[in-house]
Formats: sequence, C-alpha cells, structure tokens
Amino acid sequence: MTLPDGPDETLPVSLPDLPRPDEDSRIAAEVKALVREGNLEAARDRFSALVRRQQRRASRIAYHFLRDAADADEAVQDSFIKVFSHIESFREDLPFEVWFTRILINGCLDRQKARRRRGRWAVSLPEAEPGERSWVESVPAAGLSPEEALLLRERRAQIAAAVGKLPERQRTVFLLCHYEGCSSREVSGITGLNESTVRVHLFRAVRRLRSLLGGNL
Amino acid sequence: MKLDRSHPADDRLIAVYFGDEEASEADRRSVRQHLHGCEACTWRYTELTAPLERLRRDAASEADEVFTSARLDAQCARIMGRLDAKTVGARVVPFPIGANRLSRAVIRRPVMRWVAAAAAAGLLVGLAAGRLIESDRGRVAQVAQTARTSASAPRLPVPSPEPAVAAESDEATLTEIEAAARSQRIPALSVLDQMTPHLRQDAVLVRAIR
Ligand SMILES: [Zn+2]
Repeated sequence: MTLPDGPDETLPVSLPDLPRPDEDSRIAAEVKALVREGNLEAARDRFSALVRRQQRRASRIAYHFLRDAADADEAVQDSFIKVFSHIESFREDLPFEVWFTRILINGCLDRQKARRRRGRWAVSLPEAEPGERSWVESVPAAGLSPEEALLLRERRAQIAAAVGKLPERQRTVFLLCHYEGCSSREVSGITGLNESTVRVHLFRAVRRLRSLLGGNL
Repeated sequence: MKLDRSHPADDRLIAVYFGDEEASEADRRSVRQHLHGCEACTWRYTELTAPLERLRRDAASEADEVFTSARLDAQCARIMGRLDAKTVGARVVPFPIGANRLSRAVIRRPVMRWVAAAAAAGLLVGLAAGRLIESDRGRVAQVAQTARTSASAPRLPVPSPEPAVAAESDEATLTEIEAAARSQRIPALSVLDQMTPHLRQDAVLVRAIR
C-alpha cells in the first residue's frame, strides 16, 4: 500500500476534526517561511528543532515497520530530508505530525517492497554499527537474568514474526493505533483510509494476532 | 439503570479498549456498566486487553533500547549533515561561468555520441537481463531460499506461504471494502494527499541530496 497521492478533488473549505496545529506545526510553518524568503541556513537551523522533537517517535515507528535498526534509521533520515525539500507544500493549518508520519510510512512501505523484491524479506535482526555491541547482546535492557533475557527475545521474535504476517494495511493500522496510540481519525489522516475501514483493519489485525500468537497474546 | 444482559462480543470489548470513537456515549456507558455487573465479561475484557497492553509497552521499550539517545544524536547529526549539503550547496556553488563560453558544438557531439552508445549498451544489457530473469526465476528463488536457510546469524522464522495466502485473501476483501469506502472518501483528506510528496517522484531528489 502506497498511501494515496493527489486525487483530483478540489480543496475542501473545511478540514476534518484532526488535531489543531501544535508546536511542531508552528515550527514547520516557520521553516516554510524561511525557505520562502530564501534563508535556507536559518530554515535548516529551525528545522533541527523539528527533527529533535519528532525523531524518537519516528524511529520507533520505522523500527516497528522494518525490524532493522539501520534500515529504520535511513528511513527516518530520508523522511526528514523529504519533508525539508517539500516544506513549501506544507499547509500550516494542518497537523505536521500527520503529514510527516504519512511521508515516513510511505518510505517504510517502499523499503519493505524493495526488500521483498530483493528476495530477502524476513523479520531480520538489526546489524550492529561499528563499535557497537550486536543487537543480540544489547537487547533487552539490563536487569534481566540471561534466561529472562532469552525468553524476552524469543517472545519479541514471535510477536515480530506475527505482526510481519499481517497484511500491509492491517499492519500499518495496528502499529499506528496500538503501538503509537493514534486515534482512528489520525490514522485515517495518515493513511487516507476511511475511519471505519481503519477500525475494521484494527480489529482484524488483533483477531489475527490472537490466532497467530495464541497464549502469547 | 437496568443492566444490559447481552454480553458484548470480543470485538465490542476491544473497541472499548481502543476508545471506539464511533460508538455513542450511551453505548459505551452501557458496555462499561455491563462490565461492572458481569464477572465473566470483566474477566474476558482483562484477558483480551492485558496482553495487548503488555504488547504495546514491550514494543515501545524494545524500540527505545535500539534507538538510544546516542543513536538519536548521531541520526540528527546525519540529517543535518545531509541538509547542509543541500542548503550550502544551493547557496555557494554557482554554475561555472567559464563553461558558458565553450562552444556547444565542442561539448555536444562527444556527449551525444557517449549518450547514444550508453543507451544502446543499456538496451542490450536490459534485453539480456530480461531473458535471464525469465528463465532463471525458479533458480534464483531457490538460491535465495538456500541463502536464507544457511545464514549463520540468528534469524527469526520466515513467514510460511500458507498464512500469506490467507492474508492476501483477507487483504482482497478489505480492498473491496475500501473501494466502496473510497466512493465516499473524506474530501478533506485530499489536502493531505496533495501536499504529500510521492515516493517514487522523490527518490531521485533524495539521492541527490544524500
Ligand atoms: Zn457479560
């Protein structure tokens, strides 16, 4: 599913009840104004605040989609670059987060497709960066015995595999609604799906996960 | 008020958990009241939602363990670095003035010849690769499968084809639902559609900035 881009509909006068513009949207509007003035350096500096505010959430979403830290990292970077490059098309009266998440998810879905095309679609483990401990060593967090850590890893692997088996829309809706706590209205804004369709996808995802995971969910 | 004696279905309980915005306040209140008065449903609600809650918490902590503050700092630095290339590049590097003075003919002919040769070579390679891909599709899939199974790094199970087929049919059903829903698509969302850059259009741009 690539989220829809630009149907031939006229711009509506009023907008749906998406959350009103927040601090992020205000910063994005400032960046846009600076870019319009041709003050790219100042725009870039202001944009760094936006990156700081959104990057943890974005990394989490991308990681849950891609299950690979390096891939998720790149997807997040690309999304921010894309946002900056298209900041002039940002509408100040809309929530920045919805727009940004939409761009991010499109990027993640494209990466998934590319990965499938390369014939190595699997829920793969993230690779360690030079000088970093491997994923297996560093996750999960300290405080667990080796046995507990192993159990937790196995459980996470099972869950990731089950989520990976969900059809694309169900997975997208489930990750946004459940992991990120987005409302069905927000997910509707992000995905372009009808709100009631969002709910259908969510319930189906939960039902399927319960059947796939049995006692583990 | 009278207790609603019909036990709500699992989906309704899950809807309550996810804060179903479509249900009326009266409907939500009736489910909540039922839960207070019915031990079986309270138990079922807990059974349904506690694992979901645990799943959500664990998912958040897993991602946070991978994306440490140091990693996020490095990510931010890389984004800013890539933007520097864009913003500084746009301002500082002018097109070489001297280049305009060169005769177009001098530049063009060898370039044209080179482009024509590259295009011809590309066509030949494309045709050959097309044939190879067609005839070797089965073999490539087999090799990929072997590579996956023989990888020494710990790997999580690859989804088996059976659920994938079920998933696809499920997806097809939902696609139909969506097609029906699209006819009454929320017009206001077209604003978001129009301002969202399309990925494929941007792939070249992103690569250029990188
Ligand atoms: Zn009951």
